[in-house]
Amino acid sequence: MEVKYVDPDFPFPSHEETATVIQATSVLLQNLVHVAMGGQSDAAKQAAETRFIQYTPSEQSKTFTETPKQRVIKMSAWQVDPLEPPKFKPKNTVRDPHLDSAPVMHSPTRRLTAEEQQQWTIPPAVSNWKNPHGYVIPLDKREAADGRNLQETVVNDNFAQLSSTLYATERLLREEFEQRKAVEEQAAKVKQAEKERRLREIANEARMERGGIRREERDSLRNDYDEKGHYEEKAVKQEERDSHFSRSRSSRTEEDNEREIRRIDDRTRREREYRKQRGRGDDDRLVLDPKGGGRTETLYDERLFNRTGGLDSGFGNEDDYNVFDQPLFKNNGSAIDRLYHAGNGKRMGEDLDEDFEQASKVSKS
Amino acid sequence: MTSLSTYLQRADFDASDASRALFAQNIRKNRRPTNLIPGNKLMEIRTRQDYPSVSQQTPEQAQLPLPLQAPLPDSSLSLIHIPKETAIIPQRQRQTPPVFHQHWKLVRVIAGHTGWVRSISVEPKNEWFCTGSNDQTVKIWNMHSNTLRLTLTGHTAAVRAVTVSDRSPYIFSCGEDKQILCWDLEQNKVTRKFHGHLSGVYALALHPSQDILISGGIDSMVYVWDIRTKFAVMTLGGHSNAITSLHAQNNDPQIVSGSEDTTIRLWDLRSQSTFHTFTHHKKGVRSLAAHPFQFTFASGGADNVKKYAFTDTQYLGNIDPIHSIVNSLCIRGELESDRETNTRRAGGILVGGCDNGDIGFWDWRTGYLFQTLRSPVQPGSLDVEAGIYATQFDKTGNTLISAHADKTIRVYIENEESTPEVHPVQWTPKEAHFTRR
Repeated sequence: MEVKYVDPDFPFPSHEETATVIQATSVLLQNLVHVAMGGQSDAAKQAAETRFIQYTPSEQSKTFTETPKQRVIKMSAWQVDPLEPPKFKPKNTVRDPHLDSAPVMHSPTRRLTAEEQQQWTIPPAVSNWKNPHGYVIPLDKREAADGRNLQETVVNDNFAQLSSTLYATERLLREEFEQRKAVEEQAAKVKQAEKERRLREIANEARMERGGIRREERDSLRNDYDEKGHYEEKAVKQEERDSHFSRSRSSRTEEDNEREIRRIDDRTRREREYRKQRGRGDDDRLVLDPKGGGRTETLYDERLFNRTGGLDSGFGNEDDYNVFDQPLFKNNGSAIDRLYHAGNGKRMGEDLDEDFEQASKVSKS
Repeated sequence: MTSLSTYLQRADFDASDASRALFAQNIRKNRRPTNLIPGNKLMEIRTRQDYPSVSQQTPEQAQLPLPLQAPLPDSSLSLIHIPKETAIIPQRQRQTPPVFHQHWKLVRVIAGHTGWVRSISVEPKNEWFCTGSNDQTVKIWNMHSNTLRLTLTGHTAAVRAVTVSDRSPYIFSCGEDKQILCWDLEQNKVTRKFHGHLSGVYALALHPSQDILISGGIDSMVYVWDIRTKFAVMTLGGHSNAITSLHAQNNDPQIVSGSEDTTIRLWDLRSQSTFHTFTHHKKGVRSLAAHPFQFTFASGGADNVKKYAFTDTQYLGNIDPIHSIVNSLCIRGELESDRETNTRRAGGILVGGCDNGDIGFWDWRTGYLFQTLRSPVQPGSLDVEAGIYATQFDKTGNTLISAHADKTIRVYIENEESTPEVHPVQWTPKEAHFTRR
């Protein structure tokens, strides 16, 4: 036994006391285990022995008689028929509530205030499927009562703002684009006019050169043009200068016409010479289609044309079996002609003589 | 006993006949004599002028039906030896302040169970401990590495209590499947089943010197089983609601049971009857813990944690409230040196695991709550799963293990950085209970 510290406040019982308790308890437990295992308890052993009890009947008893003042009762164990029905009805005894009641040493439970009671109330669960009487709520009613359908979908204003902003921006951009396009078109038109003017000037210059206008003039013209680009004004000045020569306009026009004709002749001649130098003449225009090439008509099946009966008569009657216009196997003496063809207008055995003749011919030859 | 003490301490006690009658009534209620030791407060009353001591009583007075005489048959023994002048009314007991206890800190969280962990038991050699859980298993963990050593499956419902035997290589476990299983650790098999409980079994206790197992559960009966033969050698009835906690010891009362019917019953094993009933709790009792060096115990319930002494079945009063339901209690006994009187006294710390996840650390002697420790719940578990169902010291007392509803087991040690400067003792003396010194 382990020695424990003995506290003066609440000491453990002494070792001897503890040992006594342990000993007594173990003896008791041994007895209990013995009985539980089917052994006889001390009381049962005592009961099994035959005993004699001497007793004096009470005078108050109803069965009191004078003569035997004392009686002796023999008590002995008796084998009971195990199949005998029970003599006593088992009865549940109610335990005495005051049997080992102890004084209540705590104060009575404090009564809950109304407020505290309220805090503890839990509201009953509300079912979506059954009403308070336990009946099933119809689906349509449940749907109607359901708040989900009543909810309005709220779309954020920003969506509308975004789309309107996009629309406005697009329109603005389109306007700008069109304006820019118009400006560009205008600029292109001006440029085109400028280009045409230039070409005209070049042509004019060339014409003047051919016409024998002095080189200085031409250079001055060109310089004017090169320097400032105000060719028109210079040209006008040149015309004024020309008019200084006091020539009539009409005579000048005739000269010009002659000059033009000469110029064209010269050009053709020069082209021809140029081609000759390069080794190519007129004859190298290659004729690809001598019969009059460049025929563009489509080729048609000529059988379809020149039919007396029209287009729908092309293949004979409906019930005619003449889909093909020519026989598949022509009588051209090929090996396939010599094959036997059934049903060629003769009955079976009709042409036996012919066959015989033919065969004899063959054998003779 | 609270009411008695208040009567005793009241100055105007002897003035009123009504209070006298009440006092007598109180004494009668307590069938057993309470404090018959010199210096106890009961003595004050007897040596008052109004109540002359037995030695001074005239024969006529002795004939009178004095309220104190009837319920205290053997009180004359102690009363006679106390002279009137020495049995002065002691002033309200001056309590010495609590000694400093180091605060505790969490060092490890062990996850392995897949259900609430309901109970812990440490092996006598301190090499491993086992836990019972709602996942129907008992798991054995290494004490130092905190790794899983073994999983015992066999229960078909939550395991509510596990106990490792000091006297045999057995683990006993009980659960809500009405079963009590005896596991042989040499084979890791169930070797015995104790059949008899009508409902779930909530508590187990092993007798320190007898080969008996004590169990209690929803059927509110305490069963005493012979371990070898598996017979229920005793069934102790008396509780009217589920039994939640049990304690067994060598001395009488050998069995203590706490129940949901708010009472604590001390059982006389030899006569198979209730020895005493403590009815001080207002709500169900959930845990019991006995002090190793003192013949006292504590009980935790949904209302309070209370201290009692087995000696003369005294109620010692409430300890500091923690404002939560205390599910489990365990005590680390210490011997405190008192320099003034040059003695040593029993002290230590009482640890209570609460339903809201708090662990309360009290000084045993004064009931001073010096630390409330709370660790966060395991990630993935609900906040309401913070409860602690079991707390247990290892055999050295240096490590505390707690079983949590968030399926974890947590290990705590004393914080080295905790000093009286860091965690000063902020204690104010309260009205003393029946404790002396």
